[in-house]
Amino acid sequence: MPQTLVRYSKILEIVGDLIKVQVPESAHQKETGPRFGDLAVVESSDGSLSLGQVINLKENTISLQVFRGTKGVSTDSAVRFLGHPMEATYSDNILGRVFRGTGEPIDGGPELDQDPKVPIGGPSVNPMGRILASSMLRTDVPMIDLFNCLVESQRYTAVMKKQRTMLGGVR
Amino acid sequence: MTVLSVTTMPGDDVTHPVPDNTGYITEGQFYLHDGKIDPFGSLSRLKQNVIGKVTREDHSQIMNRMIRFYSGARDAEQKQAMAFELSDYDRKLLKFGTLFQKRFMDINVSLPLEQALELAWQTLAECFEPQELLMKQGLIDKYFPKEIEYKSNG
Repeated sequence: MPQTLVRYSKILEIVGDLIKVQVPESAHQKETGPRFGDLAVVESSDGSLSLGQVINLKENTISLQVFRGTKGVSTDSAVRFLGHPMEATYSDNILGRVFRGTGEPIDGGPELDQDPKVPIGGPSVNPMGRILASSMLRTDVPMIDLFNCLVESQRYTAVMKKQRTMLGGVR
Repeated sequence: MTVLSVTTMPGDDVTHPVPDNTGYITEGQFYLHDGKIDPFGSLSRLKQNVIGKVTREDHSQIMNRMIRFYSGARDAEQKQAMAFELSDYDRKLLKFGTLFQKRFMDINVSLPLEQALELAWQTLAECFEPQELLMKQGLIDKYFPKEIEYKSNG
């Protein structure tokens, strides 16, 4: 992955969580030029970094959505394009690990820098091509099995009142 | 792959953005209130793919009748709390509600589906007459426990 040191500091406006930055014509020729969906790092003058994503390209004006919000970001910040979209580590080593929203491990375990990464956005799945679930998942909890039984391959959520003990666990 | 995520509801508010959006992207939700799974509000969007198809034929009807009676029991409880006069049917519903909470809603209950269905029939029989169930006669003939019916009449 080519690391770019090119910074663009001509910030046109900061509105809501969006930053518009102007890049020279030549930026589009570079391998790490701004591309739709790619990540960018916004470096504030005080050295703090925030991650953003290219969500609009209009000639030489690039709009970035800053994930952490633009609070504290001023127009003297600089933008660096990373040349790749948001990625997630994908290998056997991720099992049991804990990650932050941007994909870095936060459990203090070994680094996963060397493991293969995949872009988080892929081609969408054709919903009509889905094999419909038809196999029941038994829990022996009557309120689940009898009244709202689980089906294999389904996605569920359990919402609970805050500060209460969680149910013993679904077996 | 089956995913079961757990999220808390701040202030018991299901319209809070976190539980709301979590429910929106999933195919089923269970409400946990005070260690109990609340039948109202819980849902499983794919259950019709298995209920009565891979499970026993009476599953669907039992599910609907039990929930309807439990809902009736809650109404009867309110009537009782407001000191309205209770009908005989209300008293049956109240009895059913108590049994339902104890036998099905308690989180410590662990029963395979078939035993849970049998217990459901038994609970219905202890509280109601067969004609009050408003279920298919074929199912009542096949599953309604005869002995308890006799006992409740006597």
